[in-house]
This record gives sequence, C-alpha cells and structure tokens, in this order.
Amino acid sequence: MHLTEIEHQNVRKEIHLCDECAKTKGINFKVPLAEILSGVIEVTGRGLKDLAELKCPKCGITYAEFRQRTRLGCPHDYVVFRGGLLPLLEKIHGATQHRGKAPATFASAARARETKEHALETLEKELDRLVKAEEYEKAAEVRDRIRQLKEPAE
Amino acid sequence: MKPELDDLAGSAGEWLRGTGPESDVVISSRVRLARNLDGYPFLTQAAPKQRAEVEALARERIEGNKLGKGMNVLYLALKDLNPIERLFLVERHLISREHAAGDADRGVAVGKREALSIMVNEEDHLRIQVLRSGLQLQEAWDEISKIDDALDRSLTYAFSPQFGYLTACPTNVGTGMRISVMLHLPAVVMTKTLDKILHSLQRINFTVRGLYGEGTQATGDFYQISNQVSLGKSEEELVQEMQGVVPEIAKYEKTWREKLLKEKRTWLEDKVWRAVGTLKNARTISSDETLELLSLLRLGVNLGVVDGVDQRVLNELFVSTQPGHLQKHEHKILEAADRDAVRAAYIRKRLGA
Ligand SMILES: [Zn+2]
Ligand SMILES: [Zn+2]
Repeated sequence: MHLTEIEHQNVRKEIHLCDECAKTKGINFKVPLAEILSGVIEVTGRGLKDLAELKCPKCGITYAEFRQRTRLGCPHDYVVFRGGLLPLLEKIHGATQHRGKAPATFASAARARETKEHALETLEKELDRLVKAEEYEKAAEVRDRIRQLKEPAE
Repeated sequence: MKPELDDLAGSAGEWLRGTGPESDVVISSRVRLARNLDGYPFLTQAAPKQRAEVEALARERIEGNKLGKGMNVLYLALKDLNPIERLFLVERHLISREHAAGDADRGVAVGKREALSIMVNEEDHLRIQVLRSGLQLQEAWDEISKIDDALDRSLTYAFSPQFGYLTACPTNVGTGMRISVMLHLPAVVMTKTLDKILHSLQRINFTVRGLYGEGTQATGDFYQISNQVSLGKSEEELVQEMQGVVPEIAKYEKTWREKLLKEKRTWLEDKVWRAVGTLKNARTISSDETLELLSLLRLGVNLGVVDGVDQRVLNELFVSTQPGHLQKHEHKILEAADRDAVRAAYIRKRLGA
C-alpha cells in the first residue's frame, strides 16, 4: 500500500480526468474525433480533395464542414459521405455493420424478406427435383408459384 | 418558478435510493439511446422552423403515447425554465449541461420517480435515458427498449440496415446506446491504485470520466464508466460486456476497503469521524469540500465505522447540496459565499446535528 504518502500529505492529490489534463499526463482517455478524422483523411490521401468537396443535396453540408464540426447534418449524409465514413467508423467502432435492434418496420421487412427467400429456395429445389423426375405438370405449377413470389410486392 | 419542479424537488429520484446490487460501490446504472426522426436534418443543420417542428412532434408523441404502465411523463420546455431550474435538472442527471446551456426549442420529458428522461433536441432529436440505482443494467435495458418500441410505433426513426440508428455524431451510430455506470471508489483513490483500473479499461474500449464538482476538475472519488463502441455489437452484448467489467472493479475497491480497515483502521476512522465532525458543525462549506467529506462519510457507513446514517439521505445530500438545488430550495439566486453558508446549515439539518 502507498498510504505513507497520503499520511504525510494533508491535501489529497487531485486527480484530473478532463481531456486536457489527460493529454498532458500522457494518458489517452478518448481520442478526440477530430484527431481520428484527420488520421483518416491523411490515409485517404489522394482522394482527399474530392472527399472534402462532397456535398449532401438534402442538408447542404460538405464533408469538409463535417470534418471541422465532427457532427453530420442529416441522416442522408451516411449515404453521401459513405466513402469517408466507412474507414472512420472502422476506426471508432472496429465495425461498419449494425448488429442490434431495428425499428419494427425494418425488422418485419427483414423477416418477410427472409421468409420469402427461404420459400423461394425450397420451391426452386422442388422444381429441380420435379424436372429431373420428368413430372412436368407439377413442375409448371411450382414454376408459376415461384413467378408469383418473385413479382414485386404492392 | 415552475410549480411542477417543486414536485421533483420534494422527492428524490429512483436512482438515489442507494439500493440494488453492488450499491456500496455502484451508485447508479444508466442506459441512453440516441434517436433521430427520419425526414428532418440533425440539429446543427436544422432551420429554426424545423427544430420547432421536431420538438412539437416529439412532445405530442411522447405525451400522447402510452409508454407503458405507470409511464406518465412531465414535459418541460427549456425556454420556460430559468438558469437555476435548468441547473437543478442537470444536477438531478435529467438533462446534460449542453442541453441546459442550449438555446431555441428544446425540452425534456421526465418519467415517474425520475427513472426515465427523454431530452428533445439535444445533440440528437431524442436522447432517451433510464436510470437505476445500483448495478441494474439488464433491467435498465429491458425498460428502455420497451419505451423505445412504444415511441417507434408513432415516430419514424432515421435508420439504415447497415449503420443502424443514424446519429448526428458517428461515435453514437448503430445501437445509439451508451451505458454509464457511476462508481464510488474512495479506497482505490486513497491507495493510488486508480491508474491500474483506468489502463485496463481503456484497453477494452471503455471510457472513464471523473465526476465534476462546481469547478472543472474531477473532485474526489466518483467515476463514470461508459462503453465507447456503439456499432457492430448488439445491445445485449454491450450490456453483457459492462456487466462483466463492473463487478470486477467493485471487487477491487472492496478489497482495498477491507485492507484499509484491517491495516489502517485508526487512520481511516480518524478521517471518517473528522469528516462527520466538519459536516455536522461547519458554518460554511464549499461544494467541493462537501463532496469530499460526504465521500468519506459514505465509505465510513459502508464499512460500519459510522452507523445511524441512512444511505439514502447520504446519496440525496450529494445532489441536494449542489448549487442549483440550494438556490431552488431558497427560491433565490445566491452568491457563492452565501451558498456555502446555506449549504452548511442544510447539511447540519439533514444529518440531525
Ligand atoms: Zn483537470
Ligand atoms: Zn445531409
């Protein structure tokens, strides 16, 4: 234990956890976003100018402005700045694909997609089998059902 | 003064109860979700009219929505609140300092017993948070997820299958989730073993922040641990990770507490009782000194060095002795020196001196 130090010291040593003090003490608590960004920009190198000039048609923010403020302007920026954001997200989160919950509409759409894909897979296998077995009449029925499923939903 | 705020002032928040698992070390567990409305720019790019629309829409849906059983909320528009009232909400952890300092159309919905708050137009359109006393991460997550589902039924969130819930800052994207656990680590601080914890936490992508007193320096023994990653892991995984880390730190703190008690009992008892003496007798006391002495008293109560002090009263004192609360209590603006005198009197009264 290092208590002797405290006993001889009436004033308790202050512990600084603010970013500025952390820096001077050499402890890296949280890499500021601006720093990460500049790192990514350097890596991107050649494409830097093109990237910086990208502008979101919906909210009007440019990539350079985002870099400066470290805040995006609207949800659409994730589409427009995708090229710049992917390496950035990789650096911050170590990932670029969401794996958590989703709004109900997305969740049910995803479930429906899965069910449909599964059904199609099963039917296509069945079609294959029927064709091989030369049961053409049944095969035609299955083919129609596949066609129906593949039609875009209303 | 808003009369609704007096109701809040009259009772302590759920998270101050001083109960729950690991409550001798873990003060509170908080889960926050960042959400934005589809079709509106984030706040930095939103025109005044759009910001007003977002607030009106969010407010209507939050108030009109059945968020769940017993989930009636009180909605406070920040433009109706004076600086003391805003500070009061900050001190109760219901809004952030940034939210309190911000202009234009902002608000906060506060749930029963202050276990829930929804900030409207902070950095994101919605910042939902659930606070629990002690280490109750799974419970907090279950609850906030239900509230999130309820809001999802009447609002359209900005979401992408690849990036998850879209947020103004890319550090929050994905789950939009930030878990924060507030810890009381006096023995670790006394024995100067905090650095070990800090370094091991940084290695696994957790951030640690000191709790600030009135100034800008971390005062004393309270630390908040949060996850840094919000994308690429599910909410359950994030909860599990934090749930795996916190009991280890609590164990570490408790080991040092026992060791202090065993090897330095007189020294420790002296420190604790001197703190009691000052708290019960001081005629003027700063908020930083209050935090430091209350921390020692809390340690003394947890170790059985001092008895007859209710953990809940103690936890409440940490909040109610802060400037916003004192001024709200006195119904007037007080200069620092006057606050110190009022604070000392208030503490004496609460501790039954
Ligand atoms: Zn500092
Ligand atoms: Zn945009």
